[in-house]
Amino acid sequence: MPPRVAFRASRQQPVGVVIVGCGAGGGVLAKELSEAGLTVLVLEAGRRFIAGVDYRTAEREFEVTAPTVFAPEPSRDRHTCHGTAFEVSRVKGVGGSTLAYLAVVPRFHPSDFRVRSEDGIADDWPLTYEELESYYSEVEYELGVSGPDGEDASPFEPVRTAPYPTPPHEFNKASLAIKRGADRLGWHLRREPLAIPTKPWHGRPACLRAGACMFGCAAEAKSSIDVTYVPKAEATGRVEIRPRCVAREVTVGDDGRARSVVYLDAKGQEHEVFGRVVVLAASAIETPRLLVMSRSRRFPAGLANGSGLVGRYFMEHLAVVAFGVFDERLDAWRGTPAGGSIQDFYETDRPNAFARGFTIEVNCSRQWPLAVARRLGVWGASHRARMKDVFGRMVGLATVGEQLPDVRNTVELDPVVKDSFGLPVPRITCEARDNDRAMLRVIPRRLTELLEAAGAREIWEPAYMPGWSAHYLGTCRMGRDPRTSVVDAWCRAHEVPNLYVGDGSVFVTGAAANPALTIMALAMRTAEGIVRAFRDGHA
Amino acid sequence: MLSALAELIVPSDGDGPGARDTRVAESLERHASRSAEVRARYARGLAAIDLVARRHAGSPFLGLPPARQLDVLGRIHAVAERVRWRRDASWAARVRRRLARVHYSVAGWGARHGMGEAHVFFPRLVDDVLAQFWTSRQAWQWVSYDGPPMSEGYPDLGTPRGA
Repeated sequence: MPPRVAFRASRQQPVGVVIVGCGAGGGVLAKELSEAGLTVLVLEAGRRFIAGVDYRTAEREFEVTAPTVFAPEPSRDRHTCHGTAFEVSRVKGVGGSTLAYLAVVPRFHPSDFRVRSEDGIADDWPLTYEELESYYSEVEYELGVSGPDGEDASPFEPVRTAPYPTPPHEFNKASLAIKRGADRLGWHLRREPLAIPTKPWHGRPACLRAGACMFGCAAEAKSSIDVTYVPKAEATGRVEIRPRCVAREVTVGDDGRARSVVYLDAKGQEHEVFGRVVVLAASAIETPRLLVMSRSRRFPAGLANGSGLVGRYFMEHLAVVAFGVFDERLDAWRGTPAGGSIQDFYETDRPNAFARGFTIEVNCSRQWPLAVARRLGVWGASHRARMKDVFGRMVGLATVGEQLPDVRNTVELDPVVKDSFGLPVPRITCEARDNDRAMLRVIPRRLTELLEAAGAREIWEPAYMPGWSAHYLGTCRMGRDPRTSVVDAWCRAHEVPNLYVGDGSVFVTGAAANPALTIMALAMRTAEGIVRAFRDGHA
Repeated sequence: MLSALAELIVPSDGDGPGARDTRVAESLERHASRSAEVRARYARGLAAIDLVARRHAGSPFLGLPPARQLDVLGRIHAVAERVRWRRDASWAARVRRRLARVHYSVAGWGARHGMGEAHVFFPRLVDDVLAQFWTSRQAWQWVSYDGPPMSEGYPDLGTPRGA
């Protein structure tokens, strides 16, 4: 049970900060703000999960039962697509999508923050890698990130001022098979930074290497937000988290400042909470949705949307998935599902027909019997023979390709479809544009090359999977100019001085790296800005 | 009939266990008995497969020899594949799929003789049978899978658990 809180939010006594969303951004903000002495109320659309009770990875039927735990609620979590079908993969709950992430937490590279200056495309971020570096380190130590230093480090690793808190995981047999191919090609397969400590960390156990991170870690070894930042936030006695509360509007006062958040509880009853500061950290899909739903006379196009850019420049990572089948047993299910990464193609390479690049990740997830049986898609006499032939011998590769921001890729309100609360559902437009398509022509060749060099006897044709990355970014972009961005370098809305955004919406570009660590580091920096605003009397 | 279908989807033979050895049909019946909706879906689906057998093979499904039963299921499977959603389909393929879907929809012309219901039910039945079979201890042993993931994890990545 969470500890009792020492405050009660009301109209007469507004809470210091109201945060919408308790994922990678909201959880970090709650801890940092409460430790600085502020009272914080967090509204979370999903429920609270209890590791030892809710997760079902110890059952024989786990492949059937475990995926249901974080499954979307069809009536609450609907979305529609415009154009290419886009499969949304996110988790609502205390911890957000970190509940299900594979805990791959690389830093962005310095070049990611200045793509306009370096490559002449998209826009530079209003901050640099160097400004974010110390926040990266602090978050890594909070999470107990494991990673390789010294000779074992990736040659493409950005400059760090502190070593990884815990040693890297070892490669399993599947990763070693892929490494064989990478070595032959002169590519650098290295253990990636994982928010999965390899030794006991802050009262939690070391990783058991069970390989079911995506279904929630029953041992609480994986550093999801619910077992890292949330307990520390609640321990301050100044944080109240209200699960199953769906925000539907941020109201503004006559002074143009955010005044309250109106939300619906699990029974659909409406409530209103008042805060001196409001932070939206509900994801790059839900945050713009909430801003546009918060239309008013002063903000007819949606709150903080004078630029018209709320919901625009939606990005995800270009995920191309390939499988290879080997002669030898790999038993890829043993160990972390993330099995190492290759960043040789991360940066812009002039001979390419595209700017920026991609990371190749070894993906050992879902190599269990039922998952493989379903993937084969055959039944009858040939089914079991085929299973015997490939089971335990398969490994996956997946890419994190940098999709460039494009104003035509959007999250809008669907004009017709409503969710179970009667609120318009998000409508997603996410097409691969020219640069993306050029990259998508090269990625499959690289994946095939790698699997061939590794000695795969069978290679499944790589497939592009829109939405599969689960990394949704860029719908409330940062910038210095209010005409071309929604929030400033401290993630504060240009038009609403006490409104902040604390999730991946603020990303100017998506980089070719998993975004969780950057979301957390930015959230920490945003918290610092909010505390300063309180101290200076601007909140 | 459920038992016969399960055995055709994952046959038992001298080489290893199949649906019969792992009591898949009994598990599915238990599964269906817990929900009126699932029970009704199974009843409709099985009746539809039987109707397809009568229409295309001239006999109730259970009256057919195994090879003819497989023919009937193969025909249903082919229709299911024709209308299956594919992400990478061309524009022309999408139109063809849409037309086929209308043709085989429960109210459509091609839906008569059971195919409308059967082509929807059969892929789900295959999935249910695979789910029951591949979560059985015998199937795991046959492919040397040392799960489930928890609560032990894998202290040694290179050696099967307990070896």
